[in-house]
Amino acid sequence: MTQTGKPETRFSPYAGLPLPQPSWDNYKFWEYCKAHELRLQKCSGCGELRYYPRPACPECHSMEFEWTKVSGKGTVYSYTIAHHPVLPFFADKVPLPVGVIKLDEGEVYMVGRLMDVDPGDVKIGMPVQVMFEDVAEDITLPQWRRADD
Amino acid sequence: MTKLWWQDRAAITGIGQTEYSRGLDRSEWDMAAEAIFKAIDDAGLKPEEIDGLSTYNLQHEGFNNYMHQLLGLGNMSYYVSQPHGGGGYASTLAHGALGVASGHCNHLVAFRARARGRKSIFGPGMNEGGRPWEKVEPRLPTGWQYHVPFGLQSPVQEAATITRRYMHDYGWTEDHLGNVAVALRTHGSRNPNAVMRAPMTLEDHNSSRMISDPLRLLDCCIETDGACAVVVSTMDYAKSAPHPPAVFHAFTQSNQPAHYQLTEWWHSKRWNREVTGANLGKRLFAQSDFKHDDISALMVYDHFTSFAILSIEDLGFCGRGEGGAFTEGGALIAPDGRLPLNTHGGQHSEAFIHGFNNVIEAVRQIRGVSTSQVPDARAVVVIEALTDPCGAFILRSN
Ligand SMILES: [Zn+2]
Repeated sequence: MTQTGKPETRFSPYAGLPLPQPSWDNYKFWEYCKAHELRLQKCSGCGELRYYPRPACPECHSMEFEWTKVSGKGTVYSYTIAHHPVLPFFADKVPLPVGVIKLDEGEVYMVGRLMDVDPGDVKIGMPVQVMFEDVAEDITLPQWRRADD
Repeated sequence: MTKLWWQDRAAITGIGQTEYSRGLDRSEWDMAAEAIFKAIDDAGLKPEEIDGLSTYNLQHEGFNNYMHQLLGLGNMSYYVSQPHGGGGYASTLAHGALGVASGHCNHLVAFRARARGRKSIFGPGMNEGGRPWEKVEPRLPTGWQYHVPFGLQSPVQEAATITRRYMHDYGWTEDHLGNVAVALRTHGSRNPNAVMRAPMTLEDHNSSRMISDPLRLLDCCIETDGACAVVVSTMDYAKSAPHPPAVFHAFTQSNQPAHYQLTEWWHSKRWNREVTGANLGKRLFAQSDFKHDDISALMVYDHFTSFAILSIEDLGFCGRGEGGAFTEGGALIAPDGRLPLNTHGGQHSEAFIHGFNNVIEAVRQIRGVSTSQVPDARAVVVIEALTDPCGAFILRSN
């Protein structure tokens, strides 16, 4: 017969905002964010921009690239309004609009919060502009606000 | 037709499962052991006769490597382990079945055990019980670092962004999502193993609490404890086994080079996921003796209702964007619907065993013993999570 009951396991969820742990492949991206610059890898072989950071170009397979400053302008490709906070940090921030932003430069998509948009006003196609939120000594998150036009 | 040499050369001969519940106060090893021994017994075999083992990687440490020793199974001549969670269950069965079909082993156990109830946490690690995404550390070393700090904290928020875009592009409605939820609960309400059995209406769905817009509470799967196991045997044995065999007929997987942190869902170039999904359906049915109209039932990974609709489109049961309308008129409800879906109630109503209970239900349909039986079920499609690298297979009657 199987045994039931179990020893006490202590677990409490992390109350802060979980932050990125920069790696060899992406630390430059986070360093530029810290300097309030949005720079992405631009392939030296074919000129394609890519995100998330990675060693090689999925278009032409070149491993040569430059960290290129982009306009920081884009549109809302998709979004959600998070009503249920999974992590304690977000408990007082719901309903929370989060966008998948398509950059004006082309096929590059970034996930970020829509910081100044009322949850009821979010629309696919809405123009947005990057802004930088300093959240820790070494980490700044690229977030999004309405573009002026 | 692109027939492959291994087709119809292995079959599921045994199935086993534990009770399903919000919290069983049992370890994953303990639940797995019960399910595995039951499946071996159902197949008419002894544990010492098992010489193959297949499971998923997303388990707590020690599970994959030591299960055969812990249970005193036979000398393993073939063992395999599949990455991913809900994107691993069909492939776990399939890679095991390929080992049997190719002669590497005679009787293989494939299994899954999960302790996902919130009170079932047995350690601080992500795969030591409870919901993995509630156990994040202050720093995120994986691809989660591009989503979680920005508010996509768990699969439901990610799935919501995908669902929102499909609703925008193809006109899927809240009712379409609700049709899936109602079909799942209708089947769950007939199934004594199901955790969720209370009847549900479309209105119940459309008025349920919003979790991550556009996904409501009743668009989401449940979280439970439990384990499932199956035994796959050679056809020689399967023909004389105690139960009618569920024959491993066709199998393929599909993935794209950009699969990382869901990027293919957004990118419109050649690695866009609509290509991934369409390739999966085309390859699967190219192997199959059965056409779409011959399929008796479909088992999908229903972590969220919208992905059931996408699975129907990907497999080619309707055109791209037509999946919403496909759900109308009770099309997904057994026994009379056009394509009965997850006839056990799926991960929404029966239990969340990372999809593996879908495999057991496919076998029940082939054996003719489902609680939502499709008359004369001869071929059942099983497809795993579209949000991981994805596989699908077809089981047939002998
Ligand atoms: Zn390139």
